[in-house]
Amino acid sequence: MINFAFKLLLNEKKKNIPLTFIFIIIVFLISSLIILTNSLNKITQLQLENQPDITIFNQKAGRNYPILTDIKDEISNIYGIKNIHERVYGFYKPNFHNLDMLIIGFEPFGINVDKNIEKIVTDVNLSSFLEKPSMIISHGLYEIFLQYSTFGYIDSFNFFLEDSTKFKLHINGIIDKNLDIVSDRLVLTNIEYAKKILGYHDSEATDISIDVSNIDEIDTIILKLKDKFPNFLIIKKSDLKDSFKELYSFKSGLLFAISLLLLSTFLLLTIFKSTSMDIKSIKEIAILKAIGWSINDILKLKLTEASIIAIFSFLTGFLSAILYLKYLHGAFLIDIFTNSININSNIKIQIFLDKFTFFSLFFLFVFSFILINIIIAYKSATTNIKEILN
Amino acid sequence: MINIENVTKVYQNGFEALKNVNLKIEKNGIYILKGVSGSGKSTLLNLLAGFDKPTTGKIELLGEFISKLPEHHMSKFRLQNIGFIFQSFNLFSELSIYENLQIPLIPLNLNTKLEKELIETLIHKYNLSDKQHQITKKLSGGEQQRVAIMRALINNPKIILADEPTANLDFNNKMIFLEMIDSFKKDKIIFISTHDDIFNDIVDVKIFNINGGIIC
Amino acid sequence: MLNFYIELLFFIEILTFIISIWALFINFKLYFNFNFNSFSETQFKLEQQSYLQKTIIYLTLLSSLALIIFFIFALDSLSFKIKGAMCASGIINSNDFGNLTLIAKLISFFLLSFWISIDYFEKEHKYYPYIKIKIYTFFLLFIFLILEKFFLINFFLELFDTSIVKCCSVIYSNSGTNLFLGVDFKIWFIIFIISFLSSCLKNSYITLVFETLFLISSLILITNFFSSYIYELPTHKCPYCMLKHEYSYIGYFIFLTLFTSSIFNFIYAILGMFALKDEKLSKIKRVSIFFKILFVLLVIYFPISYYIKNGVWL
Repeated sequence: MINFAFKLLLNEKKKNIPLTFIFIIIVFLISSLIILTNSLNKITQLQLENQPDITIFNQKAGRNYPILTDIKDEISNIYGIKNIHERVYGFYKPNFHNLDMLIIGFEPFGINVDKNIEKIVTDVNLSSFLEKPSMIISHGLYEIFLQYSTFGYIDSFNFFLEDSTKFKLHINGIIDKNLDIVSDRLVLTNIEYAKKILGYHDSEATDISIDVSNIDEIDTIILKLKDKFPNFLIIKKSDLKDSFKELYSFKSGLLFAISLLLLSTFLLLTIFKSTSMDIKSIKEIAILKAIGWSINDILKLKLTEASIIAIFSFLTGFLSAILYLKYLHGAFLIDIFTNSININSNIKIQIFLDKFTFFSLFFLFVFSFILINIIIAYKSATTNIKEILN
Repeated sequence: MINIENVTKVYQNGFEALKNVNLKIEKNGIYILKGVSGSGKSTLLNLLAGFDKPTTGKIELLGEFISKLPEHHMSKFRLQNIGFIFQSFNLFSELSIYENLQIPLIPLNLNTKLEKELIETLIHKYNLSDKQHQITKKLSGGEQQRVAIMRALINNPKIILADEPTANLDFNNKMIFLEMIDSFKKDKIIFISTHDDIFNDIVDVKIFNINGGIIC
Repeated sequence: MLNFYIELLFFIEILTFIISIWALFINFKLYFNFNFNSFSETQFKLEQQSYLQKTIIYLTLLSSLALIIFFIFALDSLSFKIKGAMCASGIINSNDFGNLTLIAKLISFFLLSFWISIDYFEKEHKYYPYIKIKIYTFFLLFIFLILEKFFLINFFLELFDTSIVKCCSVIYSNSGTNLFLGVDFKIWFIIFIISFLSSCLKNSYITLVFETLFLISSLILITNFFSSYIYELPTHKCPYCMLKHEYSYIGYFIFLTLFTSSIFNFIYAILGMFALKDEKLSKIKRVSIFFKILFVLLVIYFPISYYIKNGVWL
């Protein structure tokens, strides 16, 4: 039966090749989009794994204010807290290239909460770093500086402080392009310089991060914190993760619209293909019936035919989507997601593929294709044979 | 073995193709249904093959009342008991002789060995062994006719129905056709609808004349 | 709130619904015009069309089975978005339509399988003895298909306005009441055992009554008794969590064996009521009993193995 179905398909090359081709393209586009969103989501989730268990902001009337670092002592009295850190970070906007630099302060001799920064910092030659005010910048930022090298940004950069005076930071190192970092407009510097540039006083920080010893106690600790500082915004890591999930679980309208459009094209094409069953294939069905095939046998044949096309196209489309994401890093498509501060635009996509995504995509395409095909084949299988053959 | 009782067929447009037809065949052999076009012979053949149902009356083939048989029973019956030969052969032109003969066997799910044996004996019997893997499009009209007959015979049916089988053949091929059907007339009912006079010359053949939907 | 899985769910739902409307048209034609004794062209066409209807129903059965599993899966994928929900059960109980949707889906699945098994018996005959039952079953089925879609849409509309749910808090409770539908659990247990034993009885009406009791008592006991042994936690009473991979999807096997055995036994009972004596009917009964035994072995395995390991009951 499979053999026979194959031969019949090959006899109708003109009709089947364009259909298979379109099928492949649509599977390719939709699977790329979905695997991409899934993977970006996974990557962010992994990055968020490095975040502290609890983060405390000084929020008044819904706005963020610098938080006073002396509350650290008060917090450390709560049982179950492993460590407390102050963190300083923020955006600095120089007047060229429409640039937004992300400035993150770190403690050269302390423990840094963020594991990624920890990794970068361990590679730095500390003695030269401490000689004069220095910074480590990301590769993307370095390339922008190169474009403006006439301004002298080749080994240092002048930041304007609150009181309009200049503050010079020397470039001490450039972060490897292949490292997984939050932004490619990143500046890493000593925490005290970061405070200076971002306009914090010595006893202030952007937020305070807390790690707990036992993850199950998080909710109790948060309750205690809330009790102590009713004004502060206290964020749990899992809540942060959920809110990012939300961000990617269909970058809202656009993706939804695209995939819906593609799906309807797919359906229309399938219906079109099947209804345009020419006199030849109807005659084939009639001959088969005349030589003793039952409607069920014909149905099986059509099912096999449709399955061959559907499975072949699906696997090809799906595999090429994976290859495209793996070797071309989702060129073009990824622009939908980047250009926002959430993602480093030089991001390397790691492909995360779960069984469920595969099966739901498979189900979606193969099932709907076979469904439409069979019903229409059935309709022609039940037409009267006598009229066609005489 | 074939029993047609009071069969009438009226089409939806009101045309009465068959009028109270009665016909009884009890022995194997060749039976000719003769008539001009529009006389109702195609209609009668369609009813016998179960492609269509009569408006009134009963059709009994090999003890089975096919006039009211649901489709899946009909196709099963057809698969086992009826071979059909078409006027225009109706072969799958892109497939080889061997593959064309495979088609009626697919619903039976035979094992490959048995299937091969069945097909090859038949091909051998009708001298097409050297061409068995040639696609049928490239065969001559006579060869195509032979393949069509072989396809009708492959399931070893009791009844062979043929609709104008000689219309597309030249004289030589017509003679070959007659020889072929002569070779298996002893154990089958061969029912041929035609307006060709060539069948008049065969011995022990029974001819029914049909005109205006009435057998005379 | 939309995500890929829900989009997919709706897409397949719509597709399936469209083809079932087609089947409904054919069903109406069959209802008004089918007459086996007639020799008219219309009758001939109708017999052909009944094949088309059959295909559609087969496909609907296939997709409705997939959709039930998918529905639960899609809900599970939503559970992180709604505070308090830990698995599908939290989402499904977040408004009244959740459980209604699931029940309607199960009933339509049952009716579909019923239709198909009648058709299976009818195929043996050279006339159409069961056509009337099939037509009425389909009308009933279509009502449930509509209900199912109606509940589903309402469920999601309300869900999108929900931001917090109680989740398992109800199911998790250990309030000490041993009542369900006002009946003590011990009694439910007795009903469970009696109805299990009586499944080998042949009378249609008795089978119908006991099978209903068996289904209800099984569902109650799975939720309130067996589930805590599966999770090995006395307070965790939830019929959905066992569908997750943490419990190696054991829930699917439990529900599948239960529903298969019930569907077959109901079919046996109903066909028997129409006095359709068929040799294959007893085969159905045997299949039903087989699955029932499998189901019972599966569920009692958990309490017994717990008792052997720990020496106490939960």
